[in-house]
Amino acid sequence: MSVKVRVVQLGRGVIDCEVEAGTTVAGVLSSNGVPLDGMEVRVNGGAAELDHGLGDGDLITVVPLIKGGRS
Amino acid sequence: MALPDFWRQLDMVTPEQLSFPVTIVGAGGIGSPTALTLAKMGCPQITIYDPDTIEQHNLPNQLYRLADVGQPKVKALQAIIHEFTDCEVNPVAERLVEADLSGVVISAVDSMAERQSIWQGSIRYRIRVDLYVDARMGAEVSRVFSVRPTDPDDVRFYESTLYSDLEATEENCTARAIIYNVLNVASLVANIVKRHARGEEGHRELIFDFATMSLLLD
Repeated sequence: MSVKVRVVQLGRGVIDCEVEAGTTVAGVLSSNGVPLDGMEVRVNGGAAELDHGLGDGDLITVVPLIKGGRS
Repeated sequence: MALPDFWRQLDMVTPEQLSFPVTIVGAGGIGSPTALTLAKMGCPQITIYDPDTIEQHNLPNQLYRLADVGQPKVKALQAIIHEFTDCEVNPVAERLVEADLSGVVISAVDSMAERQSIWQGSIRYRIRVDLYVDARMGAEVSRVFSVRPTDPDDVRFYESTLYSDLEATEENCTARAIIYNVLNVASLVANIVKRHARGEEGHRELIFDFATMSLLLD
């Protein structure tokens, strides 16, 4: 069964995709070319492991670990 | 000289409610508009730390004027704030190492190592600091953390966000800051200070992104 998930890559854009139910966060991000270096990942607003299995309507947010302020 | 009349904002915050000292560490992209915003809002006394001088590449995304290039940032910022307000500005043209701070402290620096140093040296469990605000930006994204430095839950949460400089995203030199993002951060910080002044509930983390027009709250 396929499910719809949305990836919000802060600072970049939004990707809507359809994947098999239970596909992991890492699987979705990797197949969409979303880099994970310097990022933290949240699912439906909460912290999530990369091996978390996704369900219909899940929202993955990729938050950059930014550090600027003075420049 | 005329003095500001705050009656347009009195139902939101009064100068009396803002009568605590404010310290801003960093007078660049985030620090310079934040200082002017807080001064315009009615904060009566702001101390600003920054050892840097103004360079041409600071002009598009910081508050400085063309004629300020070459001047110490804190001195130019003091002059700008005095043109607009009667706020008392204490400029310190040095990096903050360790200080006995009080009231509200705002971090507007550029590295996680410096944030660690400020946190350990002057904020963590300091009873005279009522509120610590750490604002971070990169390109079109900003993250603003609000911490009560003597609240163990806040301390634990904030320390979980102190990733290292190696772990952090390194934006290209040409994608670090843009004026509308720094003005937005200044507004978010000013709202946090206003909430603190009125004893209102706040959020321990705000994330705003212009690229996707997202606002995340914790």
